[in-house]
Amino acid sequence: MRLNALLTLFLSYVSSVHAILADEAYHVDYHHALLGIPQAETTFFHQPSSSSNASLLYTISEKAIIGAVNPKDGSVVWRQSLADSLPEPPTVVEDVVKLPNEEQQRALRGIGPAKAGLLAEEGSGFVVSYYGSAVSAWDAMNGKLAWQRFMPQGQHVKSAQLIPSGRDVSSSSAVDVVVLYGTEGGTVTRLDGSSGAVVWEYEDRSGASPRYLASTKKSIYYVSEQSAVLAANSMKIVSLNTENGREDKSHVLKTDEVVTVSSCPNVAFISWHERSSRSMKVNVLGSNKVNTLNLERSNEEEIEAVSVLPGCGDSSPSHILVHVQTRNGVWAEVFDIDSDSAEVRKAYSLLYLKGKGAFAVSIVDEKPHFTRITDFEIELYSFAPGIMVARWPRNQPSFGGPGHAQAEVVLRGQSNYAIRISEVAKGGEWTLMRNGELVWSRPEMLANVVAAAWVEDVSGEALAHELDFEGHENPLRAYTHRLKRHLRDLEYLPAWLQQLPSSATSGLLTSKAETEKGLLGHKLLVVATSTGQHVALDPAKAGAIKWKRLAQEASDEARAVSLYVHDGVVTSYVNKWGIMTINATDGRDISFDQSDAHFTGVIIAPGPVAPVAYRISRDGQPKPTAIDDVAKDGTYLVTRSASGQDVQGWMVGRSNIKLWTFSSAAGSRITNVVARPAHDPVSSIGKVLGDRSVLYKYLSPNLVLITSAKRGSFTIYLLDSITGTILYSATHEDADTSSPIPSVLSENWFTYSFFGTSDAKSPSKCHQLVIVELYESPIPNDRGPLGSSSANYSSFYPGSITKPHTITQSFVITQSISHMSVTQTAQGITSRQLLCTLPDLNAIIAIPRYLLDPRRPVDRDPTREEAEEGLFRYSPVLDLDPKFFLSHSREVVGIQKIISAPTLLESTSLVFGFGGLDVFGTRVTPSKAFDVLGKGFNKLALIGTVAALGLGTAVLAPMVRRKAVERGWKL
Amino acid sequence: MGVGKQSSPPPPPPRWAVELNNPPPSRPKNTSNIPDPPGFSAQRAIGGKQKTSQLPARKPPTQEETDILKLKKSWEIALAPGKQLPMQLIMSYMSGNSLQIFSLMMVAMLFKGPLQAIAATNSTFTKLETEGNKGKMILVKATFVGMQFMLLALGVWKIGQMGLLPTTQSDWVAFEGERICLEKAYFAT
Repeated sequence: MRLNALLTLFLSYVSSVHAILADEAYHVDYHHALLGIPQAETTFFHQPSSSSNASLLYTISEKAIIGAVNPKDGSVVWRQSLADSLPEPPTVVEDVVKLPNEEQQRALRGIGPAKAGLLAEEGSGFVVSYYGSAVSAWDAMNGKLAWQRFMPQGQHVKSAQLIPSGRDVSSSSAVDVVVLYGTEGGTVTRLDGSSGAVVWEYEDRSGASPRYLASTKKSIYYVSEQSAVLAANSMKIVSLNTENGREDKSHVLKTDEVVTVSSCPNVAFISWHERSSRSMKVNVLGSNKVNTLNLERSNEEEIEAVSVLPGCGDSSPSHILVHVQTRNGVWAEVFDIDSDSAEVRKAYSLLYLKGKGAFAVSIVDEKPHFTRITDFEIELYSFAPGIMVARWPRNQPSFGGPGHAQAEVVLRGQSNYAIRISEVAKGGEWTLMRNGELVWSRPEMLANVVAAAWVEDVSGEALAHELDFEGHENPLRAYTHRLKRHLRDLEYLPAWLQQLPSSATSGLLTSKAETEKGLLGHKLLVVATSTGQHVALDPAKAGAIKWKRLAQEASDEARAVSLYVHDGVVTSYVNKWGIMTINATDGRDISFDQSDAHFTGVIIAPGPVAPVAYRISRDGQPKPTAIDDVAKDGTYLVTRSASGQDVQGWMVGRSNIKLWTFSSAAGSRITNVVARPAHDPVSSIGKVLGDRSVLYKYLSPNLVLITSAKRGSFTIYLLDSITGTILYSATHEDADTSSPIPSVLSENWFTYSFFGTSDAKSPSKCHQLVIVELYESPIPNDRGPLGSSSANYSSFYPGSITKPHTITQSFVITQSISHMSVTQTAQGITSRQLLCTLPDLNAIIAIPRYLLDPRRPVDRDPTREEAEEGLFRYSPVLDLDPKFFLSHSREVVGIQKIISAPTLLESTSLVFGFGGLDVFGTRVTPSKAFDVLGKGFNKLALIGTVAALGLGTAVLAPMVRRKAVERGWKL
Repeated sequence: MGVGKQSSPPPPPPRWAVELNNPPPSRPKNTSNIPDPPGFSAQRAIGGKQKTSQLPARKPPTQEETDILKLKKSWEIALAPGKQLPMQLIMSYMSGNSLQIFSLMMVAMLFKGPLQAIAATNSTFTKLETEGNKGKMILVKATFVGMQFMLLALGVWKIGQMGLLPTTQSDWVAFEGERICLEKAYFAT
């Protein structure tokens, strides 16, 4: 303990300079730069420039990220967020803070009501995307924004098509963009492909809701759904002149539930069917004729899903592939369309195969080819003969079954086919296969990570238990126990001696990185996604995936809430689904307990035998997962209601008693509740001042920090969570509460950040970071009203809850912080760092704690004693030094949460960030790597020196002896 | 002393030896008023032994006198460390309070010297101790030990100045335990 205190003192001085060294960057950290799970309609191969044959994979993901991926290695060539460029959505309700809850964020940023689309034309040099109210053209090579156009009044774009511009290609773009937007009565606009300027506009004043846009070389078709009062499920199709946007003709169709509209250069068609129907109707746009297609098969399986893939040839007749998925199998029907007579005829059907599958259509030599991808093989069908022309076995099945796929087929010679398939599996993994062989895979499901937990290496636990036993016994018994343990260990001696030579040589040859891995502990990181996948990442191997697991039966609404790891078993609590236990080392399912309970959180509390999980319902009530499996009597829980109205303190056990409720003031809501981390060791209970006196820290494991915000102001409350006593509160008027107010509580201090708007007192708008330190007493050497006894105390004794003495300072920072966390080490001796996510810079930084010392002298230089403490003059602006950036030159997008874990090395802490899009991990040494030999240490040189000295001694010793003897005889 | 007559080989002793062993020839009468050169004494030149033996023997000091003398001498020894004190004080002050090899060595000497001296108190005074002054010697020894303690105190003061004494609260904070709350609250993970 004393050593700890000394070390702490020493380390607080060491830590003054820290940065990621150039040779550490990209070695200690790992980063999955993700796009999100690619969507079927918006993913395709496309050649960015006409001069080269090389194509890139373009996609818009469900996270509304547009990006291009190199098909050779799967690296991201460029990516842009479509949601970021949209104007801020208006705040929904007055006087109520905008909910930063995840569902709303998804609605605002993710799939939501905004529809995304991606269009590309060969040789145009750009790709056009639409999302929300914006239509944007991006340079296909480097992702630079060429132009962007917002629809009036923020109306959402429903659909868009590219049509040939018909202008001189050398001076302007070869294609123009036709856009459909609006809600009641759509507007079709033709935008100039090179500038986004409006060429013409067609307005539909009928009040029908616009649905689709289709185009051929000759005309544009605008499809709108008539209002339900007049005629349910009836679509009006208006064909427009491409030159001037005038209405040519229109007709009305009566359609069904599921409607698909597809465009080809020479024909556009609309198809519709009822769910699980065995027939489908198709109309070639521009004619009145409705064709009925039969999807019958001999076996009477229920049809689960039907999807339509157009097979467009530029000049040849176009085809439709109808992909039918039943419960147990998959097949497809192929039809060809006669564009002149508007008739659709069945060509042939592709064999029924068991299992799930995906189809892709690709054009080879103007002829459509169909590819079927199943878990076992890839089959290529050529249209003209309608037979399988090539077939490749797959070496590994897709994660969760094939979702959707895109194929690029090359024909060399007569019948030598080569195929590249980009497949998005149902489990969210995006892979590329060349002739059936896996080239790369991108774990896009990691974009949806909602919970993460560290898995300890279990093998050392037994020893840890024994050491723990020895630590708590009387010396004699501990000694005999230890003696016995060592005697038992002797049985491993022969084996150890046998492998000694090999381990000695390997110890000499292994790189520093491998040695470090051993020292850091063989930790795994298990993450759970909102879509039911559980993935284990290995932080020591650059975040490589160790295993992945898909909760097959989980419904779409199921969301993992919490992960808990105990004794090598991961328990995942999934809302609206149940509890799943997985073996942490190989990812095999152990059990799952399906219960349709709705809960918002999970608290793990010690039980009489094993830890007990309490599920927190929406109103904040804790319920044990099993009725008879309850926590020890007198266990205290702190829960929070989902509405953000209150925080509650409970005493659970055989009966649950609500002890206190902290309700937010009228018009405000609780935005954040944080407690000290479960593992938060304190190495010294006091802070040593320059004159060697001690300020005692206010240390209580039961502190809880609550942020309650209303429009324009927020209040921070510090509570004792046993009694609900308010220990400290601070109100900030004129704060922008629509931006996040992150906070973190550790040891005897907490910090929070907010965006301060201007008012009479502070005329400038700025981001602020406030640090509050808690002490027992303002007087040094005073342990506060409870006195210097280190005895146990109860929060319920009168007078045992004392208010802390607080020292506060606030700093202006140049960036907004969206999330905060603290580094954790095994003993807490190493000084801490504040980990912050900077959403505007797409970065993660670590601010050393010594900079945030509220005792820094204001407006004067520190005295000698203060300087001895390491304090220096307060400056209101806290510069975010480039050395603080853990993500260095990486662009880490959308990190919403950072977690930290201790390692076997006291100096080192593991850090992992996840949440919005990317996942990023690194390790930090806040007080430098004081317990590891540096890179400058040369083991070979040391051994060489010792060996050389030994050799020298061996050679010289006989010579010296002889000389001594000779000298003796001479005398 | 005939020179040439002797045929036997032993060489004659050198002149200086002859002159040393024989007194100088008596001076002629007329030169008796010339003073001897400074530092030359005709009587001494013959040989001190003969001369001193001729002097009357000094009266041997009495026992009391020796005792007083010895006591005086031992007082001198006893108070000698006290005379070092100002010098040591200045040295301690000048060497600074930082932990450096010189100041550390000095502090080590400050402790080693007095401790050794205290251990050797009796042997320091054995020669000077007699049956007669035994009673008075106790006071002398006590003074000597006291002086050494003053030097030791200086050493302690010095390490105190260097911050090596656990006299402040911060030195004991590591041994104070954290107050443990009997209740423990659990939060959502």
